[in-house]
Amino acid sequence: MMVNPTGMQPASSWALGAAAGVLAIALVLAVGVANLSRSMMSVGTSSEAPVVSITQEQPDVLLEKVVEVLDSLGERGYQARVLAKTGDKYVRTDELIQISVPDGTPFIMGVADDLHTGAIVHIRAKQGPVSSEMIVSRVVILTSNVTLE
Amino acid sequence: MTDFLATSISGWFAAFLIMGSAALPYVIRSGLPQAESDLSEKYRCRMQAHFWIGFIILGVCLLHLIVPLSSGMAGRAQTAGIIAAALAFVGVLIQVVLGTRLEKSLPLVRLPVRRLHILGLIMIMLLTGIHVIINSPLLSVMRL
Repeated sequence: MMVNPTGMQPASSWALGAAAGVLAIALVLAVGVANLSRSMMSVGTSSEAPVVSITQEQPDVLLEKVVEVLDSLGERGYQARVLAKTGDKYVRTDELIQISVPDGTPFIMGVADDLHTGAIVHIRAKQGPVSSEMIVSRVVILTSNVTLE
Repeated sequence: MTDFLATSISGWFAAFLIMGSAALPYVIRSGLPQAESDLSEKYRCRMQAHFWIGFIILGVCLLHLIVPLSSGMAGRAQTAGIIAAALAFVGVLIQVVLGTRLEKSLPLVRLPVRRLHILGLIMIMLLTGIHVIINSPLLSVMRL
C-alpha cells in the first residue's frame, strides 16, 4: 500500500490500478464510438452521392426546394438532401446540397432551433459565392407535418 | 470537425466513465470477504478509485459542455436533448457533493445518503440516455 504524501488519505495501488483501468477502457471505447460516429456520418452524406454543383442552376434566381437536413457544417451551414414530392409524400433523391442560413433569415413556420439533423424544411434560396452552397432567404419547417418515405 | 470530435469523444468518455464508476463499488464489494464492512479501511482505500473517477467525470462533462457551447453546435441541437443534458450535469454536480459527504459520513446517516447517491445515478443515466438518443449524430445517421 502506498502512502499519500498529504498523510490524510492512504492511496492503495489497487485503487490506482482500478481508476487507471476504468479510465483507459472508457477512453478507448469513447474514441472508438466517436470514430464510428464520424465514419457513419461521412457514409451517410458524402459517399452516397456526389454533392451537386449549384452552378447547374441559374445564379441570382430564387429556387425553392424541400430538403432533409443531414448534418451541420459549422456555423449556420448544413448538408441537406433534396426531397421530391410524390403524391402526398416526399421521397429522398440522390441530390445533396449545402445550405447556409444567415442571421435574420425569416422562419415562416417553426424556429431556428427546429433546424437540426433530420429536420425537413422548405427553403427559398439562391446560389452562394461557393458553387456548391445555397444561401437561404426563407425557411419553412415541415418536420412532423409531412410524410417522408 | 475538431469541435465535433472533441464533443463526441468527451461525451462518450463521460458516459463510459459513469458506467465504470457506477460498477466499481459493486466490484470492490464482491472482491472483499463478507466480514469486511463498508466502513473497513480496505474498502475505503479501494473506493478512492470511485472518488477520483467521480471528479474526472465532472471535468469531462464540463469539457463536453464548453466545446459545443463555444463552437455554436449546441445552438443547433434539439432543445429537449440539451435540457436533459443540462439536468444530467446538475445531477453530476449533486452526485459529487453527495459522494464527498458519503465518504466522510457516520454510519447512522450513511445509508440514506447512499440511497440518494444511487437514486442520483439512476436519474443521471436516464437523462444521459435521453440526451444520447435525441442529440447523438451517430443515432441520427442510423435513423436516416
